[in-house]
Amino acid sequence: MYDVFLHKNTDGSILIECDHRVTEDFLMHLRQYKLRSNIQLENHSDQWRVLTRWGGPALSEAMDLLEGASWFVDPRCDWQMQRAITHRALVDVAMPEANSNSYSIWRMIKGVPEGPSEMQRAKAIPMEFNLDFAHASKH
Amino acid sequence: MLSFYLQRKPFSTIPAQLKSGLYQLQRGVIRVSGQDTVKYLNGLCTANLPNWMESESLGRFAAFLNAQVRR
Repeated sequence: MYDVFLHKNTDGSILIECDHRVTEDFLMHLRQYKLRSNIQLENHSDQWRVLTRWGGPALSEAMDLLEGASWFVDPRCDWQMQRAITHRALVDVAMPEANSNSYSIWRMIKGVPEGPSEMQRAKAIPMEFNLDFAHASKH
Repeated sequence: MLSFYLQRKPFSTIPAQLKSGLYQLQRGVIRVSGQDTVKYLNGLCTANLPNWMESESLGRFAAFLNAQVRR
């Protein structure tokens, strides 16, 4: 099972954000079911950056630098987490240092699993990890 | 154990540095384009893609099951 976020791109395509360790495997998985569908699948990991934010006024300065990003609420639990995907060039200027430790601590506190190290691939099923409560199901 | 969680006051125990944050996450990104994009992805993932595409939401959470789980 691959847990992902889907992002609408401005050109009408869809960007699928997955764990960086399984990108190639996931791409292979998608290609496996392509058959005769009229779609193109490309690995764009080097062109896009994923951002997450929470909290309030302290971030306003950083927010000004990232006006180009389109934020949406992370629906996985009742936290104030937001997520966005933006072009790499914008992030490299605005955020030279990347650190996701605090994000991981928040996930642990809230009990939100993410990635293949927490949800075993090829064995896990959505109900085991409360993905229905995390709004991953059809609606 | 249950009483421990019920008595806990989450924000009083969370360190100040966790109360706000802006981080870049190391994630893989796959671009899917083409005429059948929505139909194709809708058949593979747990989300309702047509509904989401009509909504104003820019992103959503979903899961893709692999063949071993589907059987």
